[in-house]
Amino acid sequence: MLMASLFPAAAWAAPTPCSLVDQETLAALALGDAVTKVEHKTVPATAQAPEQHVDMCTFTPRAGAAPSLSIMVMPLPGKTSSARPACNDSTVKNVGMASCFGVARGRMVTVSLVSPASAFAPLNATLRSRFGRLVDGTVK
Amino acid sequence: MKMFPRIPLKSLATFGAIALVVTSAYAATWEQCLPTCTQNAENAYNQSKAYYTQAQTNYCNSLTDPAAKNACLAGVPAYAEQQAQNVKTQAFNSCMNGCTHV
Repeated sequence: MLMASLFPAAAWAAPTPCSLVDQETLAALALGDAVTKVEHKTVPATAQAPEQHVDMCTFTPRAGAAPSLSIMVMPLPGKTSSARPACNDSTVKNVGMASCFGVARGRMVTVSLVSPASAFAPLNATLRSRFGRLVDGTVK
Repeated sequence: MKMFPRIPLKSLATFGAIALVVTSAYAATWEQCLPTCTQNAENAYNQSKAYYTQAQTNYCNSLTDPAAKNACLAGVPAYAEQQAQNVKTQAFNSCMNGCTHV
């Protein structure tokens, strides 16, 4: 939204993955004052799939590196316009990891949360409760 | 003429010895932590990469359309690598923080 305000030409462009998450959700994930990093990656073609372009957005705190939230959007070929979201989580070496996957409007949205294990449970619960709307792009 | 008339030499020596012990303990702790935390982070990287690979692969396999499923599977390595690097950084920082504050 800020991008569109600063650069009117961006208003008509496809939304970046960063715009899928609103400020309220970021605040609930302890990322209210986050730094945003946007990346565009190319996934090489395989024998079964053509080359793909992936947009990624990563939120990290202004001070420190935890927690962090990554959003990845990848357009999907084929007839899949939507698929039921799924979330799972795990912990390794005192670091909590949560991943939510979903397909909406022909694109796959993956949201990943990484945080110290001590703060992980409430952040994971927040992510899970909001992911359904986030993947639909209706979180706002 | 005495330069430090109110500080006995014995006290100065004691203070110096304590400072030396504290500094040495801190440095030794940091140095001892570094290899441990590096190994800790490397283990976190490997374990988290396996987790992310499995998590996305499972979701891709749940997609019924073959083209979408294959495209999803093709993106697994890049996704797992990106996320595992993030976990590695956080595991290292967390380990070192706990160490240097001892």
